[in-house]
Amino acid sequence: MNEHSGKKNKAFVVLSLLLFIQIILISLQVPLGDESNYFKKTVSALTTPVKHGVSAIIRGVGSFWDHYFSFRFRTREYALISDRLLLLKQENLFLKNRLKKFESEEEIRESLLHLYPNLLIVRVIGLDLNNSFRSLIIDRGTLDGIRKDMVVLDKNGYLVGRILRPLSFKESRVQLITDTEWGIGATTENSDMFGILSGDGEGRCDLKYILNTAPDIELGQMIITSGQDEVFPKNIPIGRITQVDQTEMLHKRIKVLPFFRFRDIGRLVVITDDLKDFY
Amino acid sequence: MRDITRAAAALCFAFVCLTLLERFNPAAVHVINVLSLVVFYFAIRKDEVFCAVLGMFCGLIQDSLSMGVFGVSGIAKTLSGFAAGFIARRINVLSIRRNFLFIFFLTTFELVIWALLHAFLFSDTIPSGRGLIFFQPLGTAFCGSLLIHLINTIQKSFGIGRD
Repeated sequence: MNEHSGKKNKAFVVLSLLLFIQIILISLQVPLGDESNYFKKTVSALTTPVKHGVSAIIRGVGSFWDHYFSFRFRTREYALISDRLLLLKQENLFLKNRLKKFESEEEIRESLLHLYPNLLIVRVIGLDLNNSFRSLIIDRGTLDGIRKDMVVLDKNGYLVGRILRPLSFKESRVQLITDTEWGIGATTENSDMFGILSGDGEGRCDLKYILNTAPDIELGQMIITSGQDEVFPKNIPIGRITQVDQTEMLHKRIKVLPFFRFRDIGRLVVITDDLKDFY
Repeated sequence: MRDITRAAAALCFAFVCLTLLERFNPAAVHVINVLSLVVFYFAIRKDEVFCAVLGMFCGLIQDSLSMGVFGVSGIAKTLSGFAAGFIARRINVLSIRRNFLFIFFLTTFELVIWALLHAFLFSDTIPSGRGLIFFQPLGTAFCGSLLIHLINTIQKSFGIGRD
């Protein structure tokens, strides 16, 4: 009986110790906000490479399947992609020609030469487990030249977020535009209304500080970056307005649905240099 | 040592499941708490101290893969792990129906602790993943009870010994 009670007491002592350690960890973290303390950095440095490895193995198995077993399905997809590529090439040619009216061919070539080396294709290796609308982890880090505040786009060129910080040599955390704790300079397409866009933490964004008296704000309008925050280049598509409400305060309540989709973010593009002038 | 190796193997398996969920349906990450399942699986076999320590590790891993405060999921999982080990020592939760209820109530308990800590630290509404997080106890209990039943059946058929 005494032995059983002693064991039980020992268990509660261990539990209290574990809770105490974690309360200390929380109290160390809270003043730092989104910055990680050394303990979190250490655990991240241990877990993200494992997640990276698992992700690479699963991608490898998926790729093996794609290459050897599903040729039948891929043939049709390949034909569609070839058609699309053909159209895109035409579009590219058309746009280049249109651009020539504004810039010399040499200037355009120089711009393109500057663009491609600064686009880094990355893969997503993990979502945020506490709230997937806040952040995600990609498979490139300091070794690949990833730095804080680099711009992250999806495969269609829509804004996804920015690099919050590299987690290790080969992994980095991306802060999504749907996160509540930051803002992006944004404007509507074809208008002079400037506001600040921040996430609502549930997959949508709020466009803030647009006056109630502002005209030309309609449902379905496209929201693009304004470039005023000096982090994002101008004119990157963000999303569409899905809700506009007048409020009793000074500003409208505007909801924006981002263009990027979680299902399509397997591969992303990081702009590794300052390309504000290019956009 | 053997237990630590098993726990590490279970964590690797959880990472595989997590990566598959993220790949095929990112929303499922909100509905199935894979790391908690590792704790509940060991709760059936081990005592409350082992489960509390494992819960702490799983929680801190979850926090390290997230942007929030380091330690919030850790505390929630430590408490749920301890409770899981404590209950499983006293009540037989091996049958699939009991196992379902066991995981359901413990995931709810963990979610409540996590939500309370989140509300206390951030004075903000909890991120519900468009309401999907409220289905987490059901989703985790459903998948967990099926998975544990499957593992037990395989162990029985191949005569693999249990502790």
